[in-house]
Amino acid sequence: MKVALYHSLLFIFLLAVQISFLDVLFPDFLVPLIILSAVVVWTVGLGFRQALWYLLPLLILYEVLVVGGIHLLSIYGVLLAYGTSFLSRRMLIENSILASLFYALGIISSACLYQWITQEGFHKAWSAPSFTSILFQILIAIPVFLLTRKILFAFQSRMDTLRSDRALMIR
Amino acid sequence: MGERRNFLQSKFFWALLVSACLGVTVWWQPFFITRPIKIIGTSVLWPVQSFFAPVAFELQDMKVFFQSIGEYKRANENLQKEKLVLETENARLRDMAAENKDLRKQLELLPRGTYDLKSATVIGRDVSGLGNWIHINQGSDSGIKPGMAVIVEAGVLVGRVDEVFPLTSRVELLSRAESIVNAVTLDTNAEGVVKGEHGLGIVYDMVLQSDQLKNGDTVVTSGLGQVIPKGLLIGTLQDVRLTDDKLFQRATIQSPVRFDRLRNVFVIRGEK
Repeated sequence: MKVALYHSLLFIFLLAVQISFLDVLFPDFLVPLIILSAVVVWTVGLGFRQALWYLLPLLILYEVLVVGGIHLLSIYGVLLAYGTSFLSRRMLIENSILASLFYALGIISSACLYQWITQEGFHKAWSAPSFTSILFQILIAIPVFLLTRKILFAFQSRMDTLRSDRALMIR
Repeated sequence: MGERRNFLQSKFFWALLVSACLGVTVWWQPFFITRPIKIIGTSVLWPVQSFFAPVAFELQDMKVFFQSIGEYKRANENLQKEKLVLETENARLRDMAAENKDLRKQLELLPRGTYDLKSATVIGRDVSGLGNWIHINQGSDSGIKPGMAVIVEAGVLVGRVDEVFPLTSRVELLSRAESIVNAVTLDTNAEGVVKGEHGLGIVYDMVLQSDQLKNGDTVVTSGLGQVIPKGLLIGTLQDVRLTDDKLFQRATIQSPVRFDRLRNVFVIRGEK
């Protein structure tokens, strides 16, 4: 129960930061960087199947709150998690600085791809982002990803401790 | 059998399954589920959003401020260019203001109530005549006729109209040798004629020896001949002397006007 409550609080925090902070500060970003970063961090830290239990509620909640229903981002998030899991296992770069850069670039690439998919899907004129825009997004994505990873890893560590304590109490 | 179990446990299968379920949900759009979730979610998020949003807006203001520094720099450069243009325009306007002031001064000082004046601008000079001719931008269309007096501020006579065209006129200045104007001195009432000194100046000549001439006396038109009105200022006397044949007195006239700098003049078309 306590773990579920903490997870709910974490979701609220992530959603609020995304919706009320990043989206306000960078209105040009059409992609939720924190949500995508959380997808990548959970997948890398917990593995694909375990991460699904966290990322699915987060993606669905975000879409419901922002769009009003379930749309493409949820499917895209699942596929991104699968792709991350597929690549990270083969490249084994989870714990290096290079990995952070790699994941940040991956998030930006996936963000651009998502923009293209959604805009093409809604028959809007899609214009390729400029080099400056991409560079700016990378510069923002790296700290966002690192911060999200730090928070989620710390949270996961805390949850593991809680679970261990509860297991010891049961015994 | 084992291969099927492996596939069912593989990540790819789970990714496909979850994506398919979500795809069905996207197609179905169960609003009766998502709407309550949205209402509850927004209610729960509201206090947290109330904290983050103002912070984000403050930071955005700062971001806009830093982004605008470049814009300010560009705006400053544009303003510098505009300033240069405005300075040039200002100089031009000041010149026009001085000219306007000059004209207004002339208008205020001229005897407008007495004479029917027509203002004119000097549009040319006759260089071959040692500057003794000027061209003005008023002609017969404006009622200008030959012989009319041409004056400047304070009613100072500078010459008379010699030749008239429909739109322009040629004015003979007092400094021309052939120019002769009847005049009289104010203090001693000595009559004589004003004529040019080969383009170099004007002299007061043909004054009888019985009349008294003194330096500094004022010379005005006498009105003889009916064409040039009486009382127009010509200048002051300097260097009084006898003529070469010793029959008459002569003096140099110092005009208060520099003929080579005439810009605007008035033609006396008659009396009101």
